This record gives sequence, C-alpha cells and structure tokens, in this order.
Amino acid sequence: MNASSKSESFLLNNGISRFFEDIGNNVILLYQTLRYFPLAPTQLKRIVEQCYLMGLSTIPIVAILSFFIGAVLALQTGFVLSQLGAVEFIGAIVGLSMCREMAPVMVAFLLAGRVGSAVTAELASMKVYSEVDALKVMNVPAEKILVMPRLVAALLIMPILNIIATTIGWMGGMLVSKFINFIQLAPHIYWRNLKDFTVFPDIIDGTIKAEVFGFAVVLIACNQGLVTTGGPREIGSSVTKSVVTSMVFILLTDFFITRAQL
Amino acid sequence: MSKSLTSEQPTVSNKDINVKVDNVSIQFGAQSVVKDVSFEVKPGEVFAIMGASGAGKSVLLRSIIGLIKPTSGKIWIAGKDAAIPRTHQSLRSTIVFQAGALFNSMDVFDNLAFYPREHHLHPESKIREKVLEVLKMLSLQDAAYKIPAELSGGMRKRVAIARALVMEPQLLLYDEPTSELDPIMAATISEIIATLRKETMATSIVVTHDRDLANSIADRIALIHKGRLLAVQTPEELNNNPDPIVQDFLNPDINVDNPRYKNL
Repeated sequence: MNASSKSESFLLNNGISRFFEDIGNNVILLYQTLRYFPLAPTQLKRIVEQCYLMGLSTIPIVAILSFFIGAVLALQTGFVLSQLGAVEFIGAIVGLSMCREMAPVMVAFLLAGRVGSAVTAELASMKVYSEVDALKVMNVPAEKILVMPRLVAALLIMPILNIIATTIGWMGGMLVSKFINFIQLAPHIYWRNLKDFTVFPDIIDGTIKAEVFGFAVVLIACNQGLVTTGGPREIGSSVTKSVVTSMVFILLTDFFITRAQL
Repeated sequence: MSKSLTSEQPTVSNKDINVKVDNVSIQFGAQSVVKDVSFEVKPGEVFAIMGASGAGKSVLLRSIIGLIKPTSGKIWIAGKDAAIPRTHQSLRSTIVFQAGALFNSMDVFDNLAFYPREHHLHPESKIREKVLEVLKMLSLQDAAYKIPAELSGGMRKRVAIARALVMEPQLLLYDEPTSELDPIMAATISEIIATLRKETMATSIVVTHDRDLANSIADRIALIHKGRLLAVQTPEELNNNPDPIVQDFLNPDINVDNPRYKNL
C-alpha cells in the first residue's frame, strides 16, 4: 500500500468513525433529553419563546417559497397537461405534491437553514465560552433548559408551518391555473379536483413527515452546537455541518418514510 | 453577608469541606497536562495554585469542580469523589470562570437570579432581594440591568463572583480572577476574595499567576511547573524557597542580552 492509498484509507476510516460518532452523539443527546420531556410544563416560558422564534420568524419565508413552489408546480404540469387536454388534473397534482412531499420537505429545509443554523450558533457559542460549563456547575442540565424546550417547540410548530405551506402552495397553483393563458382552469374546477384526490390521510402523512424532519433538524442542531470545541472558527464549521447534516437526513429519511406510507 | 442566602440545605457542613487531590494525572490524547499531583486543601482555607501559563492549573481546577475527569488518581471533596455529579449536588460548589462565563443572553440581574430561580429556592420577591443585596455588596447596583457585552473586564469578573456568591458556596473556585485587569482592579478583586472568605467561611481555591494576589490572601500556595507539583508552602516559605525554578517564577529576571525564549 503506497502513501497515497494509506492516506485515503485513513481519511475514509476517519470519516466513517466520525459519521458513527455523530449518530451516537445524537442518540445520546436524545436519550438524555427525553428524560426531561415530562418537565415540559415547568419550561413553558422557554417553549413559548422558542415557538415564537421558530414559527413567527419562519412564516414569511415559508409563505413566499410555498406560494412559488405551488405556482411553478402548476405551471410545469399545466404545460404538459394542456397538450394532453387534462388541465383539470392540475388540482390533484398540486394538492397531493404539496401536502405529501413539497411542503414538509421545504419547511424542514427552511427550518434547517433559518432555525437550525441559529440554534447551532447559539449553543456552540455557549459551549465555547463556558456558559454550558457554568450550567453544569449550577446543576442545571443543558438538556433540560436548552434542548428540550427547542424540541417541544419544533413538535408544536412544524404541523402549523406545514399546513400554512400546503395551503399557500395550493393557492399559488390555483392562481397560476387561472391566469396563465395556456391553462386557464377555473378555480372551482381546480379545488374540486384537488379535493377529490387529496384526502385527510394525505394531510396526516405530510404532517408526520414534517414532525419527524423538524424534530431531527432541531436535535441535530442542538447536538452540533453542544459538541463544538475551539473558537469562533469552529462555531462557523459547526453551523455549516449542522445545516448540511440536517438536509442529508431530511432527504434520506424522506425516501424511507414515503416508502413506508405508500 | 452573614444571613443565609439560600434555603436549600446542603448535606455537608462547611467545616467538612476539604479537598484532597490524590495522585491526579490528566491527559488529552498523547499530551500529559497534569502529572501525578497530590495536595490537600483544608476546610475554610484559601489555597492558591500558581504556575506559568500552560502549567495545567486551570485543567486541575476544572477537574476539582467535576468538569474534567482525571485520567488517573482521584479528587475527594469532603470524602466524596469529585468526578461524580452527585458529589457536587450534596454541597454548594461553584467556580468563577476566567472569562466570567456569564449568560450573554441575560442581563446581570437575571444572571445572578438564574440559580435560585432554576432550583426554586425562593419566591421571586425574595430572590430579587437577595440578588440586590449581593449586587450592593460588590458595588454593582448600577450594572443590574446591563447585558454582559456592556460590561468592562473588571465588572465582568465582579459579576461572575457575584453570581457565584448568590449560590452561597461552600467550595468556591476562582480561575485567574485578576487576569487582564489593571493593578487597582486586581487589588479590588483580591480584597473581595479575602472579604468573602471571612464572611462566608467557604473553602477557596484560587488559580492565578498574580504573585500579589497569592501572597496577600492565600494561606498556602501550590506551585505547578509543567504539570508537576513543585511545592506546597505558605507564602513566606515559598518566597524563601531556594529552588531556582520557584525563584525564577516568583522573581523573573528580564535579560535583554540573553532572552529566555531563545533558550526554550
């Protein structure tokens, strides 16, 4: 084995061990935090604060993106369906795509970029500047006051964000269907078709996905923040790693959840 | 501060709070930071740990408070293993971190009120009273509603001490309490530590390389050199110690013609 392949092998082994170490750290943090879930009512103030930060700050961007995703979805499918003379099916396509797939994945991505990065930066900064050590010395577990309220807030806020994203996406699809000249589908036909194909279990499936993604994004963000050591440069690296890991997790899990739901 | 600040009663009394460091070594990977160090801090004593930067003082202090587990050896606080979290729950031990470790998202008042609030020690009105009492004691009333970013270095140190005081500690550790401070502020902090010792009777361990601080307030001083314990003596004994390393640390010559960095 020459020096180059030895070095490649070392990097691969190092990467693999780091991957499993990350998973292990996340599982340990989850286990340690689950113990404090029954204490959620005592942390109501922090949970409400996190709901505000996660929800209110994310709603505008969720609204804008979901509107245009719904609109583009209607535009793309409308172009093909108009040639087949089946434009009325735009409602079904936009309806199902938004609620089962696009809304939960998009909201989770936004949560990772908007909230996950902020959570990692905040906790990493607390870790690097010994604030987490100070909590430990005071016998106040970081899992109880930093992680649990964020996870509970994610569970509470994700269904709401998901419903908002789904509804606005449907609206975007409806407006495009009505006003684009090669589609020109009447809104009542769009909604009727959407309601015919999109049933309540579809909404539930989408909400389950959103809950799983949101919980994982916040857990990954908290873990990445709390394992940070070093200085300002490492805080930046942790934020990047948190967002990238969350996105990879979302896409991988999405496949398996979708497979299980179908 | 003679009256009790907190209602939560620790299970160990102040007169039993001794710290015994027993053949402690601490390694990070291949790097050996603390090498087979042993000493004992008596109840109510002010014990200073001195040594050059990188000698392992702060690491040793962190292992006493339970933040770092020794690689080998044991640290006993009142006869209990310091590496076990339950030990620190059975008594009130705290540390004043070098950079303060104040919660940056909270103002000074909330930083001080954090411990009693989290442990539900008092009703809010009484917590307020206690916090204001400590702020007044350290002349910090005007800083009560400032956030840590608005404080000077000296104020941050005093707020960190104030936050530790609200816990009414039985074992109080200070990590470089006078570093980065001007001589007047360093003297002020030294006076605060000495006053607190009288008033709280807490066992105190001060990590420092400030000779004036150690000489004026410590009952005994441990000198650590490259991770090894060199001496544990009273300030007078240490100042008269003939060991060249001790004398070089306490009274370093500044030789421009033959600078020491070239001989490292």
